[in-house]
Amino acid sequence: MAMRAGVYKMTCTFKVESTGEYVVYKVNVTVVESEDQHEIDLFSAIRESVSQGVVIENPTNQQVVINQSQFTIGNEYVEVTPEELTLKPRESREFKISFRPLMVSESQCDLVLKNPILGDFKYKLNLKGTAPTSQRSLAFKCALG
Amino acid sequence: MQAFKFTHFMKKATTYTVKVERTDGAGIADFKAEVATVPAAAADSNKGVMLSVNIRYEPFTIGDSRGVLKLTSPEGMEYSCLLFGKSSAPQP
Repeated sequence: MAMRAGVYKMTCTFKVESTGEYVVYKVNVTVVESEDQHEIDLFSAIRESVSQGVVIENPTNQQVVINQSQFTIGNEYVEVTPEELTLKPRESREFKISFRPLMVSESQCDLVLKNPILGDFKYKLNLKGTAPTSQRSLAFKCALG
Repeated sequence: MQAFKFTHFMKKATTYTVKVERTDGAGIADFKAEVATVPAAAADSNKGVMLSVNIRYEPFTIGDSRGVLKLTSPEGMEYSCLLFGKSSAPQP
């Protein structure tokens, strides 16, 4: 299974042991970038935070380390935690995408994870900031003068 | 006097304009903000930067007063707080 885009070339030989006859196949496999994997909705009242977990699978037989520098995020108010995630062979683990909107607005941005072993993971984030859910107040009491 | 505390989350520095308006009729508001602007430093972490503005209640008449405090930044950030005041007869 190819984890990264590219052209993979291999030779496959079928051989009859008893007679020594063989046939050779040259195989060229072209692996293209995957489409956006998921659309993730992150809707929250302004200044509150919303988060969603995303599971990453390590189908390889080697340990994979994912750190924050491997993420490219198109919005400065979207954050990914934890700072570093270590996936043992054949293990699946979750990272969290958090968004804190500051204004009532709606937008989209891309989140891309580029890992040297697992390849690229692309997500489209639908971001929405809604009106605050609570109204703050102050109460004063005093005698005139 | 009471302090209205709020958290600035924007990752760049800005200045909030402070405005107090009366909401229970026309005339001078019984509430006054101590400053006209509140400077805010850039928020480096997701915990934000805690800021505050002092609001003074100076009633002119006995009874209830209502107002609203609004803080706005040029980038479109907006914080608001309802103000309720209750004044009684002067104490001897």
